[in-house]
Amino acid sequence: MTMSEFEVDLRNAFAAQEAPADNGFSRALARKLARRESNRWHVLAFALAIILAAGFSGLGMIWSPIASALASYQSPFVGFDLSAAFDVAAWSLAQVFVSLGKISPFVLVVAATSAGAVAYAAQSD
Amino acid sequence: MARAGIDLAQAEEGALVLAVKARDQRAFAELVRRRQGWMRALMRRMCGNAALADDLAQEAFMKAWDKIAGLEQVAAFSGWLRRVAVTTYLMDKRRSQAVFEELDERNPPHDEQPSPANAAMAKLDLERALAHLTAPERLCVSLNHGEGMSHGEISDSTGLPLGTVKSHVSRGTEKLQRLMTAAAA
Repeated sequence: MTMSEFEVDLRNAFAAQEAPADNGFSRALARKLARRESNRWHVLAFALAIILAAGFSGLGMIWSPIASALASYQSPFVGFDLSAAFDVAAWSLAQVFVSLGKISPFVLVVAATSAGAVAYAAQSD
Repeated sequence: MARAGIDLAQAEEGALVLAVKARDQRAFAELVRRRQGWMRALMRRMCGNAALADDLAQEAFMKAWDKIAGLEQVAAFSGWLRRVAVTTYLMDKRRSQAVFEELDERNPPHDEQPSPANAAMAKLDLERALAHLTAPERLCVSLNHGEGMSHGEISDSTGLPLGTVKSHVSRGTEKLQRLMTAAAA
C-alpha cells in the first residue's frame, strides 16, 4: 500500500471513529456553567457593596466637616438658611455636569444620598 | 425548549451561536449537546486519555462561553471552536511541560520504531495506534488527517513552525502505517 493510499484509509478511519455518547456530559456542563455564573454575580455584588461602603465612608470624611460648619453657621439673613441654599446650588451644578455627561447619574445619586445621610447624622449629633 | 422566537432543538447552529453571544445559557447548553461528541473525540485523539479528554472538553467549552463575544463571523464558529480546543489542550500540556520538552529542537523526539510486539498490541484500532505516537505527532496527525486542517492551519493554531508540523505529520503518518500494516499482517 502506497503512502497516499494509506492516507486515504487513515482519513476514512478517523471519519469512521464513533463520537463518545453524551452520558450526562452536556447536563453536567450546563449545571457547572449555571453555578459559575451565579457565583460570578455574587462576587460582583459583594465587590460593589465594598466599593459603595468605601465611597460612603470617604465622602463622609470629606462632607462631615463641611456639614458641621454649615450646621453651626448663623445666617446674617433672618429666615434664610444658607446651608439649604448651598445644597440647592450644589445640586443644580451637579445636574449641569450630569447633562453634560461629565458625571454619571448613578454616581450623583450615590454621592447625594451619602452626603444627605452624613449631614443628617452630623445634625443629629 | 421554546424560547422567545427560537426553538432551540430545531434552531440552526448560527442562530444558537448568536443567542450564545447574547449570553443565553440554554442556547449554549443546546450547542454543547450538539458539539460534545466532536469535541470529546478531538480531545481524545490529541491527548489519548478519555478522562483527561473529557476534562479538557469541559474546559474548552467554558472558554468558548467566556470568549464567544470576540467571535466576529458566526459562520466561522466551527473553526473558532476547534482553535479553542487546540489552545486548551496545548495550555494543559504547557502546564505539564511534557510536550514542550519533546518539541524542543535541541531534543528532537526519538523516532520510536514499533517493535513486532508493539505492533501486535496495536491491533487495527486507530486509537491504539495513535497511542504509539509522541504527543506532538499525535496532535499534528489528528489535526491533519482527522480534522482536515492544512499544515499551515495547524502551524497557526499550535504556534509550531511550519517545518516542524510537516515533519510531525510525515513521521506520525509513517509510524501509523507501519503499526497498522504490521498489525493487519
